[in-house]
Formats: sequence, structure tokens, C-alpha cells
Amino acid sequence: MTQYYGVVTELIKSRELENDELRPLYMDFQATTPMDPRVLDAMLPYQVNYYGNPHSRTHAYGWESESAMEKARKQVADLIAADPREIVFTSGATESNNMSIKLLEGTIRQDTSLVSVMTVNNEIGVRQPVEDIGRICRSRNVFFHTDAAQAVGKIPINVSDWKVDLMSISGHKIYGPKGVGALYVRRRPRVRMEPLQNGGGQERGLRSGTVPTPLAVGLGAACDIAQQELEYDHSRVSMLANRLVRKIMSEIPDVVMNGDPEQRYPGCINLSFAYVEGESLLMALKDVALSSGSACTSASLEPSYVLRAIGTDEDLAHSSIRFGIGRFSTEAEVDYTADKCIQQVKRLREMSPLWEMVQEGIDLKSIKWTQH
Amino acid sequence: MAASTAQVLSLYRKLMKESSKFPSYNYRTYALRRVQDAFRANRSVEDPKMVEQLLNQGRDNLDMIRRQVGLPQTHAHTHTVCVCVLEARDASHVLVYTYKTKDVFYFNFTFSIHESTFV
Repeated sequence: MTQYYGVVTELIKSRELENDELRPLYMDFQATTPMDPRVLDAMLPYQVNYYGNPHSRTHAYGWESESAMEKARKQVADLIAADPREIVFTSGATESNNMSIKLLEGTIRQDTSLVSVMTVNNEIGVRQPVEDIGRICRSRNVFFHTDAAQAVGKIPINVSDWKVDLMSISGHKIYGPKGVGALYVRRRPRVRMEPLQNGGGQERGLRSGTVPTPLAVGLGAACDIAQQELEYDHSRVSMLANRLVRKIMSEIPDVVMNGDPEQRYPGCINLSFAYVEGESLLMALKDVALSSGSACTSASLEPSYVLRAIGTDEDLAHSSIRFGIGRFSTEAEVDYTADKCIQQVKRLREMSPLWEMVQEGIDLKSIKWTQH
Repeated sequence: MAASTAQVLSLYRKLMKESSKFPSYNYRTYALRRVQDAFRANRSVEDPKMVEQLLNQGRDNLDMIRRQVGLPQTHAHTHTVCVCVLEARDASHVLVYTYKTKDVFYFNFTFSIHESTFV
């Protein structure tokens, strides 16, 4: 064995991993998702060799690009049980949302209004009763829009059953590329739209601008894969989510899961750890990529508006962390996250005077805090 | 031509071998797990047409995985915290932590420090 010492020394010296070579685990699937290798595989030809403009009508470059775009359109439509003619490619769900609101300005009547609801919430994972909302809207002649960015490909969607008139879809939430999305616009009964973006009249005049074929192909592939993998992903994500929550809740007390326990998408778990500040717990869990609320509002220090809306106490709202589990999450990652979380919560609570008081049996709500 | 067990097994082995070449921990574990679960789920399919269709799907996936692992991986990160942490104590001992088993091993022989060893 002694003959190997020299080799081992060399190996250690050349392969000693620096701390910054170790990237954190990714547990923030609501913020964005990595592209599925199958999506990248579908996109690459259109990024390299098949670079034609899909609106060019006079040569093969245009024809092949258009054919790919239309195939992608069908893939998106199939996932939500819509007709391909009802899908408009956009730059993302935000653009789709804005286009839908513009509808109101285009076709306002005395009694027209628009109901806009998120299908699955991105902060607490709660699923809205869209079928009921759709039924009510249809009976009152009111347009119904839903932002399904977090729901598409994760729960079964049927725009006819749900009586949805407009639906926003985001590519990078379903293991597709960033910078592309779609808007579903119902044809029967017709939804008349005012375009947000004017120009060459592409996408039936609803959204001018060259459709980026590689991105559209990526979105289509992501939808196609999502349809195939829906059941498998759902059961796996549910299993991992249960594992995480059960592990954490069995080891430490005073942990609250925010949002309805039944009507939810399992992969988005928002937990409040009492007597621990959310930001400090996030910093303590530095080798896991997590967030405390949505990425779009993470720059502000205000606690989540969603938690406030569901009536969470101010102090619990500041203690919340969002765990995101997705297609590529592993048991090892979930176990590591749970262990680290338990360890850090215990450590932070040890330092907390509030926790000390609670241990002594003092009711925090009865305390009269004085000013210094 | 009826598909034989040998064909199915050969395809399975090729898929597993190619999948293990993904440098990314998350892609690699997903591919290995997905291939295994798919073959397991379709184990009792008897209809030869269906079997042929599934095999063709498998072959397409094999081609796709080959293309993807063959991509230049200049930016692929290979070391996530979860897999292992290496610490050199001295020239003759290397400390390895594995998060799966939380065991601590002392080695004084050479071994390949490639992530796939630990997955």
C-alpha cells in the first residue's frame, strides 16, 4: 500500500475542493427550473443549423422553422386541452398577463369585467378552485383569466372544463427556456383582444415580433415532456415533500405550514419557524438555495403579501421559508436540507431570548413591551 | 421481429451507462432513476407492437442522452454540497463524508475522485 502514498498526495493537492467550488443544492424550483436535457436537445438544431425566420414564406429555412414553431404550438395546446389556434407565443407569463388585462381596455362594456386569478400560488403552493370560478364567471358573462405559470405541467389542466378564457403560461417554470411563454386565448366564445405590441402582424396580429423558433420549440418540448411525466413527477414530488415536512416537523416544535393542506401543489412548501427570523435562517442554510417568498419580491424587506393576506401573524410571516421541490430533486438533497434546517433552527432558537421565555412558560402575547 | 429479452437488457445497460456520464449531479441521478423506473414499470408488457414502440422510444432517448453528455461541459458544475466533502488530513489519509450514510472512511490508497463514484 505504501507505494500509493505519493499518488494520493498528488491527488489531494490537485483536487482539494475549495469552498466556492461547492455549489449549493437547488431547492428553489418556484423561482425557476433548470432546463430538462430533452428540451435543450430539441432546441439545439434551431440554435445552430435551422436558423430561419419562421415567417419567411419563400424558402426552406422559413418553412422548416415555421413547421417547428407550429409543432411546438400544438404541444403547448395539447397540454391544456386547447386548440393550437388559441395559443399565442409571448416573452413570458408577465407579458401574457399584461396582454390579458389590456383586453379590458379593448372591449369594455357596462357590465364587462375581468377576473384574474393565479391557478397555483408561487409562494405557498395553494391551488385555487378554478373550476368553480370559471363556472361563476361564465354564468355572469365575465371574462376569466388565470396565470397558470406554476400549474402548467404540474397538475392536469383542461381549459374547456375550467371555462377559462385566457391563460398565461411560462417556459422557465416547467423546465423550459427562459424568455418565452404563451397566452391561451379562447376562440369559442370569442375573446377579442387589443394587441400590446404592434408591428408586422405576427401571431394573428395579437403579438407582433418574430417568434423565436428555438425558444418556442423549447417551450413545446417542455410541455410535451410535462404531459408524459405529469403523473410520475407528481407522485415523486409528493413523496419528497412529505418526507421533508415530516422530518422537520417531527424533530422541532412550533413549525407551521402556510396554506391549505389539501388544496395545494405538493412541490411548494412554505414553513414558518416560530421564534426564528426567516432571513437569518436563510443565511444559515447557505449551502441550500432557498427563498423566503417569491423571487419577484425578494429585493424588498417586507414580509410576503401572500402570508399577510391569509392572516398569518406578523412574526410568523417574518419567519417563513419556501422549499421548492421539482423533477430533479433527490432524496439525498431533501434529507440534507431537512437535517441542516433542523440543526440551524435549534441553534438559532438557543440564541433567542423569546424562545427562552417561551420555554419558561411565558405567554408572549401577554407581554407589555416598553420603550427605552 | 419479436424483441428478445437480450435486446431489452442490452438497451437498459446502454442507457444506464450513458446516463452515468452526465457531469451534473441532478441530471445524472434523474436519468439513472427515470430509466430504471421506466423499465420496471413496463416490465410486464406483452404486446409485441407495444414492446417495439417502447424499445424505439428507449433508443431515441439513448441517442438524446449521448448527444447531451457529449456536449462541451465547460460550465457544468460537478460538485454540489450533497455528494461529498473531501478533507486531506495528511499524506496518507483522506477523510470522506457521504451524506447518504454519514459514514466516515479513512483511505490510504488511491481512488478516483469522480463524483459518480459516490452516487
